[in-house]
Formats: sequence, C-alpha cells, structure tokens
Amino acid sequence: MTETVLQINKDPKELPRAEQEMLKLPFAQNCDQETLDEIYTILEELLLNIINYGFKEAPKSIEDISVIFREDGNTLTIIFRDNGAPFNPLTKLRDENERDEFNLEMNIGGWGINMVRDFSEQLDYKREGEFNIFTVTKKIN
Amino acid sequence: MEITIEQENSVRIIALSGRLDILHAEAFENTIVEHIDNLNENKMLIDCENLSFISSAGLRVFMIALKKMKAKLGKLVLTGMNESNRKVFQITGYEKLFTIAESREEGLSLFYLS
Repeated sequence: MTETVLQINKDPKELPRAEQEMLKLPFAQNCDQETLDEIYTILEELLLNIINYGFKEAPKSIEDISVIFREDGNTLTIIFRDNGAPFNPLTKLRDENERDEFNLEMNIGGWGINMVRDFSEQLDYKREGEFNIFTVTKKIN
Repeated sequence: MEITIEQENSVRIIALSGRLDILHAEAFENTIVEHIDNLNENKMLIDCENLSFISSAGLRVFMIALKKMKAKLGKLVLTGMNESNRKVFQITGYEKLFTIAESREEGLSLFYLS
C-alpha cells in the first residue's frame, strides 16, 4: 500500500497543481485516460465543494485542506480532509427520479456529486472533531 | 483550451479543443454568452470534436448556453463528442436535453431540416 498526502490552499487555482501531483503518483502511471479523467472530476467537484461551501460558513477558520491518495492493489482511496464548517456532500446527492428536464435546468451544476458517485464505488462522510472527512473509494485498472 | 469562432451561413460555430475544466469554464462561459447575446439568427453549433475532457464545471456552461438559447427560441446543436464526454452527458442526464449529432456536417444539416 502506498499513501501520499497533498496540502491544498483554499483557491480553485490549486486544482491544476493537485492534478499534476496526482499524475505523478504510482497508480496514475498504470491508469487509462478515462480513469484519470474520472479521478480529476472527483477531485475538482469535491475540492470546489470544500472551497465554495465548507469555508463559506466559517471564513476565518484556519485553512487546512488535505487530499490523501491511498493505493492498495486495484483500489484507490481518496480522502478529503478539511476544517471548514460541517458539510456533508452526500446531502447534495439528488434522487434519480428528479433528473428530469426541469430539475436539470433549474439546478445548474447541482449534479456534480452524482457524477462523483457514478465514478466511484463508495462514498463516506464523517465529522471528526473540527474536520470534515470525505472518503471516495474507486477501482482502478 | 482553445475556442475558435466560425460562421457557416446562418449558423454560428463554436469549436472547442483541449480540456474544459474549472480553469477554462469561465472563459468559455464569457465567450458563449457574448455570442448568444449577439446572434442574429439564433442558430449555434458547438463542435466538441477536439474537446478531450469536460468536467462538471464545464458541463454547467453547456446548460447555461442551452437555457439562453431556449430563451431566445433558438437552436443549439452539439457535435463530435468523444466517448468519455458522451458518457458525462449520459450519466448526468444532459443527453436528454441537448441535440447531439455525430459530426459537424450532420449537426449543420439539422438547422436546415425545418
């Protein structure tokens, strides 16, 4: 098992750096482009959630965002850890029955967490002390 | 990401190449909104043949474009999507909302059917 921790600043411009760092990791050397794009989508969606929502409620809090990549065989676990306000992205998951024309148009961008779910095997959230811990488990090839 | 603007008869063509992620979504939104606001014939084709990747932030801009075109009673056609971009449209349900053609030629023909 290998584990790498990335520290991320509270800035969407950090995303390219996060992606570049991700691409250097051992698992990325053996993944096809489609899998890498899915992992990038997961990164972008969840980091933007943290930056846009997690710190909005407590802007003066100590800024601390970590992304932990844990590779174990053909399983990649990505753990997002931040000390923003309590925020569970799973509450933003929308029911598939709501995926009609009206809701898709009215909730622009509101389906991102559904994309994360579709690109992964398991999602878990917990609040641990002052930290949000969101864990994504994904099979990699 | 590169954005190229073309005009073919009455159809404004926006050709995208590269990656449409959070870093490029704003520029794409600004370009598309400006062009929709200034369309004479309310016909737009977005050519995605050379677009390698669409993130959720990029997807949002497509929906903005669709809503603006609908508000103008216009027609928007997307063309040339690769397999992974098509998958993103499928899993988000956006595929049901957009007119999507395989090629630019097929897309252009849709403007002249009715």
